[in-house]
Amino acid sequence: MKKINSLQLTSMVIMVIISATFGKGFYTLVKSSGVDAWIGVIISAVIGFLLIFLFLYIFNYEPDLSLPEKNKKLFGKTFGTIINYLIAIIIFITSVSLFYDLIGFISSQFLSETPILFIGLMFVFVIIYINVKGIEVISRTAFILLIISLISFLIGGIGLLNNFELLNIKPFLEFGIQPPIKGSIYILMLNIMPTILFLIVPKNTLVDNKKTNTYLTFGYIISMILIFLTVILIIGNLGIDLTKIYLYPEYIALKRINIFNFLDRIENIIVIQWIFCLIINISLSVYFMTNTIKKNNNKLIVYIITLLILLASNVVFKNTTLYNAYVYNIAIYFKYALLFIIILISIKIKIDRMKKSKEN
Amino acid sequence: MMKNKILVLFVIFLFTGCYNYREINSLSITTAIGIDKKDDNYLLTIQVVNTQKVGSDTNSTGEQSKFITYETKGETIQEALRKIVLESPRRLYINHLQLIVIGEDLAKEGISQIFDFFMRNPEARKQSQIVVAKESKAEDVLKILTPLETISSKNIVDSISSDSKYLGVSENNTFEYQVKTYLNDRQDIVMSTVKVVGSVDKGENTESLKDVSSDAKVVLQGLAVFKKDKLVGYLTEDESMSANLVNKKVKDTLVNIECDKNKYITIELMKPKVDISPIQDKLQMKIEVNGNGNIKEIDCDYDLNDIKVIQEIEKKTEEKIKQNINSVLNKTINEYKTDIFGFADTIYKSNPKYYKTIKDEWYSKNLENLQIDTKVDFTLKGKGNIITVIPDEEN
Repeated sequence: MKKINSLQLTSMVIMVIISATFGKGFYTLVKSSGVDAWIGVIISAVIGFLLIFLFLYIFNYEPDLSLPEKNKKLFGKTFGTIINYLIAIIIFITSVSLFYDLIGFISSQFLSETPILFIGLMFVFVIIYINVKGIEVISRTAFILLIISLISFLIGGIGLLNNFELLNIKPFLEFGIQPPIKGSIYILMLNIMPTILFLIVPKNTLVDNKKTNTYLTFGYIISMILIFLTVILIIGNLGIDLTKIYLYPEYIALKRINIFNFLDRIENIIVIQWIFCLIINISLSVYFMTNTIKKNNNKLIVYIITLLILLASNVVFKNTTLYNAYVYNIAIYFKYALLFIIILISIKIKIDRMKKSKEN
Repeated sequence: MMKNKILVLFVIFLFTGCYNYREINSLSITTAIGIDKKDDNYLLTIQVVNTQKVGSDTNSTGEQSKFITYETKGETIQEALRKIVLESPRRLYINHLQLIVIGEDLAKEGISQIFDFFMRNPEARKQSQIVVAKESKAEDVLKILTPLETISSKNIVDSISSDSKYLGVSENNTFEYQVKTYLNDRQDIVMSTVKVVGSVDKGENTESLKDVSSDAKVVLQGLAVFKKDKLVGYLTEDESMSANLVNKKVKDTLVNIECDKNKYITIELMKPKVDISPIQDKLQMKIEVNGNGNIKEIDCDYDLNDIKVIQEIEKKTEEKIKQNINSVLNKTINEYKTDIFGFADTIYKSNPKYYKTIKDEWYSKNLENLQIDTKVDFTLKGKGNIITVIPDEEN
């Protein structure tokens, strides 16, 4: 059944990629690359094409099937199921950290006296609702929220240009190319790797599936441009010393927005784009996990997974120090595991195709 | 369906901000905080808007003041700030903080804890101004009533803003900028200063506003120079203007040049452009100032239609600006041993490899040995509404 179109799918991909830039993504990037973080973004954008092509390669294989079904077909029921659950666990862990980032931000900046469980519940209701309604609603929501996000990004970008100082991003490559490369690996793993989520949508369920590859490639380029602009504008505004000490430098930078001396103090409106991106990312993750466990969006599983994410984010990370240490030192290894699985799947597809062509 | 309705009701009551709401009339809107140190404790003077009076038609003269000050004490700033509840029923709200005043004694001891407190506090807006109370206590500065602005802290903030636009003695920098400079170990801080002139006791009484000339005033002074987080000295007004000029903070300023004995020409220097560039792999720096200006006042009998006279004024202006810059460079580098112009940072950003070789001995040796070549290029553009000089009849 044709459900969504390529533009809606691309909207989801863009939001998934940029959602990790705020909070943990920015922290790891700046910690590893310092003032050369923007160079790290450029490097990751170039290398990231390889990942995107891998994803598209898997996406184009058996267009009637979603990723869990493809795995079962490729590796057999038992091994395929193990792979599927491994992917789902990694996605679950990622969702927990994203959710912690989301409620941590709101709790520290706006609702300091509200129990974080209540803050989390606000988003849980939204995520459950759109998941129960299915991928059509998630993708339509993503498309609408992306438009709002892009407008707020544009306003934020223009507002920050005023205080941008080129000196703040100097000197270039003081410690060589290694720090930006390290930063680029974090972007590849934390930002680009979660793109795997879109593979839950079988290609043939897209209305205009012939254009999908082009849309997704352009979507990826747009996402990387947005990440690049975010990084360069924040460091160019705050300078590296301030960027390093703030818990949420991207939010603090938005406080400097001043457009023609009459539009200021709009950071709380602009920052909503990040909240939107996180909601879409977590929603799509829940959809992925639900459909890995049982096909056709089982309501009960949606409830259980979403509530588990909420509870785990409250229990696992006791404080931001622990969370930051996890993101910088541990999270990346889960993504390496995901990368390994993706490469494994691609190789298997290649072998299968070669076998088929030989048979023919 | 019924379940959904109950859920919606539940959500409405729990998640619409009702949980930790704060009514505006239960908040003390803080406009300024003065910080002094007394007996190893922080003494905080908190200026809060008197919401009963602000917005009313009556002027503050002879009436209750439009702001209230509270004084609290604590071992840490946060403790002192919280202790305000012992005096005031309302919770302090510092999101609209406009000014932080640091007492001179505390500034000499070090201000890093102030930086830490306000940066850590998510509610505190980092765009507020921070000033040093020169030869005064912060508490005195915040108690003085001002005739033009109902809230005295706003008076100081607006004065700094005007000064930075039209004169250039003060530095219109935010609190966050100062922290940024402090965190950058290749540059030292300069901060605007204010001084209480007159009797503080009279100045805090609303009756004093009835007089044409106030009994006490808060006046902007030259810049305060810091080494790391400690106040080491002050600059004069002329030195402050030159310091701001080199730091690219001057939009418009005045230069007085002596044209005869005790006779002066006042030149308005407009939107000067300053370029600071290091010489590659050498302990040398080049400061180039380019600017245009107008004659605003002249006390000498010059023929302003003679091109040679104009050229002479230009030359004298250039010499004066150069002399002022060299004077402030000499004072900050040789006397205070500070790098308020961020020469180390300029070298670092253009040539980090060379900076590595000089950074260890920067303050002990290299800063003093830094050769600074100052070049000023000034062009006189206008003479005002008249093209000649109105002659002095006595001469």
